[in-house]
Amino acid sequence: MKFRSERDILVEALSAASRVVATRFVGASSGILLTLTGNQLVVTGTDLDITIRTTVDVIGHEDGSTVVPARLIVDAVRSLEAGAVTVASGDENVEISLGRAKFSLRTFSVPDYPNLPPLTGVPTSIPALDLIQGLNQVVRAAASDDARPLLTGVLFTTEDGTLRLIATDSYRLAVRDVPGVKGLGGSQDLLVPARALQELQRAAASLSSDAEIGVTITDAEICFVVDTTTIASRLIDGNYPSVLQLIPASYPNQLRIAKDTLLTSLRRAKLLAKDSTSSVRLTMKDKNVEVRTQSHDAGDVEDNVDADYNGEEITIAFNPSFLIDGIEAVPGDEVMLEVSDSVRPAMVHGVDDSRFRYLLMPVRVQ
Amino acid sequence: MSNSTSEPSVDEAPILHVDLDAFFASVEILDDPSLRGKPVCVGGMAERGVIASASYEARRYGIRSAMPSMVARRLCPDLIILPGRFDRYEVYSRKFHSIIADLTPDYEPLGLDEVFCDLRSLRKLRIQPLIAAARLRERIADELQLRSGVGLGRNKLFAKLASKESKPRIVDGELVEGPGVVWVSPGLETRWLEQLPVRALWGVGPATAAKLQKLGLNWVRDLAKVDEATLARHVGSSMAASLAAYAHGEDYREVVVERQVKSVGHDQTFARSLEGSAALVEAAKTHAGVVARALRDQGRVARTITVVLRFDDLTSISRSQTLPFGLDDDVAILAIAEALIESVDLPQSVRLLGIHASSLLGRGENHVQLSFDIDSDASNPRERAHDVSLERQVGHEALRDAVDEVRRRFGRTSLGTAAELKEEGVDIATQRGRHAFGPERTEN
Repeated sequence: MKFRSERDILVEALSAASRVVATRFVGASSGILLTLTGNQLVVTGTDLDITIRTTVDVIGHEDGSTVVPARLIVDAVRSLEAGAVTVASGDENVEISLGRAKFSLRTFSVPDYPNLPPLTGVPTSIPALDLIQGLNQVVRAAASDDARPLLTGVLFTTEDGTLRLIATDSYRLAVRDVPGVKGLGGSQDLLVPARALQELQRAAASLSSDAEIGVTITDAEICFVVDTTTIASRLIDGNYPSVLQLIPASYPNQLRIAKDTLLTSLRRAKLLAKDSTSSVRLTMKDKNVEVRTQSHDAGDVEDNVDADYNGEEITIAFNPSFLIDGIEAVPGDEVMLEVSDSVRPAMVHGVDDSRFRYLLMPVRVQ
Repeated sequence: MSNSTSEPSVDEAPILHVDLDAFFASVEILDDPSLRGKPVCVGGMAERGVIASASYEARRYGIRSAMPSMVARRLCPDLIILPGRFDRYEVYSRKFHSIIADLTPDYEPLGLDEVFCDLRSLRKLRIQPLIAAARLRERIADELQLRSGVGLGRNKLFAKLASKESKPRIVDGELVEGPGVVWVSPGLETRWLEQLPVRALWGVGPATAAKLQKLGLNWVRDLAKVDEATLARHVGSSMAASLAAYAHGEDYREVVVERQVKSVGHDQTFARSLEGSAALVEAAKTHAGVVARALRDQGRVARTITVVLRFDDLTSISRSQTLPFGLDDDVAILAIAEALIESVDLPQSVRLLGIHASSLLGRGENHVQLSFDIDSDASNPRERAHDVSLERQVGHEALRDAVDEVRRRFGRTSLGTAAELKEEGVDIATQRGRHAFGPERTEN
């Protein structure tokens, strides 16, 4: 196998594959599979749950395939000067060169690489913009550690025939209705690993606003096709907890506030809330909200933001990162924050917009 | 009074060591004057119990601390062995520490009855160490009715050796008063070391002493002739470094002033070793209760819970879990401890269980991230423990406050959990930290 490619294009494809490869693997499955056919190079990375394949246009010299060490090849190609990189594989190594710099890296054997049959089935097309906007609001609320495997997924369910996305890490819950997209699994709910969706978000970042994403679903897997990238993922098996019942029917106290002003103030307060044991305290009054963080070690910070507030004076504390996540995700210039009391979940959503709802548990200060 | 006639300055005798005489036994005698003049010990009474403290009357029979209680009983059939009452000792210890604190804030307590002081910050006050030491003994005798010995020296090594020398001793079955205060003057250091057996050195227990003896090293003066690398091969490099320094009269340990308690724990050696995690979890209920109460007494919560297990072969292991919030609830602490105990392989039976709480925060600094009440699909026992303890910690605050209030008003045994309810009444275990010395009582 031998080809030439622009360094930056190659780095991007290799990085995506490398992110997916599990660090716990050794041998060929810890590598990235490169397959050249004509002028098309397919770059594949997998952890056996998630597989990402990117096709890039290169100048092909000799068809073939090889398995290269994942982290090392990304670092090697990135370290070269900008320009056209030449990649040529031999029996047991691959040469990567540009100008007078040349890496010769040991490779793994291609037959040892996991067999990853592509999904069969008829893909449906969905508008990329709607789906990706929804994911941008929801994926952040999924759990990032494996303690509760179900919560590491985003639930794709159907509401009134259209798609609804749900994610929670048990501290916050994000729900997004996507009216522009039909439900994906029919009557079946799908639980898609958030990690796969993060790759989908990255791959779709540069799509045009009218682009579409292809989706293929089988019993156990889902596959997204974005432009020249394919992301296939095993679905998470299990019964997602019924979380919508956590959302209260109504709230006695409502705060309406300029989004950017509040965000600026919260980011300031977050400077003194470094770990999970500190929080930002909001005191909501008639015409304003007081934002305050006290850190036993570092000191404190205090701010006051004008707001419309309907309700009794109340003080409630949050993990500032979780609150910022929710407020950032709300579309528009203003945001609504609704609370019951200092120990029950608060709700963040847009003004006159109920497509996105973000429910957040407070931090209790003893 | 001392082995030197000239009065040393603070720079010649910068380190002071005070040690209370027969502390636990003396407190027992103060609390019960009918014990005066009798051979009294505090210690474990069961098979594996050891003597923690012996009155001088008991010492006349050859009884020493760390001696197995059964041996002590053989030496003196009339011996009165009392279980420890650590809450009383702590009361006396606190008063003792406050007398020390009047002399200098630079002190380091060792256990309940020993303290090192660094006198150098008193240089400008022109304090004379020997006079300060004598006054210290007087105050301890006047205010606590306790006797003590004080040692002064250039470093911790000599200060401690000197305080030992200051004590009364038993000669031919009779009590001979000691000097009370001893200073090791720099000129005499070498002579002190000359006559010292290695076992008298800090950290040299029976095992190390036996290894050294095999090498023909019985005296500190012998150590000075061996190079550190050779010692290290036999006793490990850190012990070798200390021994080599001590042999030349050097001790690089500073007086460490601990201004805040960093952990709260409870250790217990069992009369009969426990087998299997179920028995340990049962025993841990007491520990969790003791630790939770100690935390609440101090108005603190702990984010890290550590379980220490010592097996019958005396090897130990510890496991800990750190939470994103602080605990002071007994059931919450027990939930974490239980998961930790169950994460350990138990190839042999366990003779000591300890539960320690650290990463302490003030109660007012305890920020608890609340979570939704969703069916836990947690596959990991620690995660489940996290959920249980979070629920308890947050949900039972009012109950804890009420229990604490009842105990404050009506006494600590006025209210207990079902597990603490014994035939004789409510049995609230008292905290035992590093001072644990043996089983409290035999079973049944």
